[in-house]
Amino acid sequence: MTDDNQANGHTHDETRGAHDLGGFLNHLLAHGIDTSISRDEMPKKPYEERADAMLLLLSNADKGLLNIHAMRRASEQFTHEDYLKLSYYDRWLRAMAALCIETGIFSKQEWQAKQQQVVTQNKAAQQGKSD
Amino acid sequence: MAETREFSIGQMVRVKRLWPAKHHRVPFYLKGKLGQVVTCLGSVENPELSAYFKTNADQHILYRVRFTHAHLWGGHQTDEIYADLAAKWLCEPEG
Repeated sequence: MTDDNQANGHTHDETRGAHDLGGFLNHLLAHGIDTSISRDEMPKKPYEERADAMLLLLSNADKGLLNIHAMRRASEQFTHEDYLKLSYYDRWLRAMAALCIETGIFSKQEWQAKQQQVVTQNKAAQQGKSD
Repeated sequence: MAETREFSIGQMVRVKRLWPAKHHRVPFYLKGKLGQVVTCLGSVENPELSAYFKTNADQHILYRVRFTHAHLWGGHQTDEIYADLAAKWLCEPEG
């Protein structure tokens, strides 16, 4: 596949969502993305399993708190740099958090406080191990 | 409610060259390109509204459109690419 879009000078970074990558091979390579296709099965990490479970619960049709379209929209709003930097499940996690804040499931302050708490806990656990 | 179909099977259509910042299900590389309607998939949930937790009563008719690899990317490959695109994103090819 050639970079026809880029060759025609239509990079349109300002109008093209971070997810819209078809035909932008050079853009991916410039960001250090491995564009080869791995044929190995990738086992899910525990946090990825949890992310999947949370998304299923939040997308439950009865509650209707999140949906796939809103999740996509939230990921598309990341900066191009963030979008390429984040792993697949990290994108979903960040999108979920953004939508939970947007829909008032929790506040930005609560989210930041929780993140801080986890960082502190991890530091304490690390110190505990090295003692 | 009966579906209003704007395009017929086999008809050539052009994908609109629009760049909304809002969520839409049309990749960059198809915008402005010519394709042929393969089938009508009927009315579906409108992702452009669902993405913002909204709905309306308008029909969101989806068409499967065939594009040639050569038209999209140049070269002489005979591969084809199929995309499911909403009626609102398609128009009659000019001329």
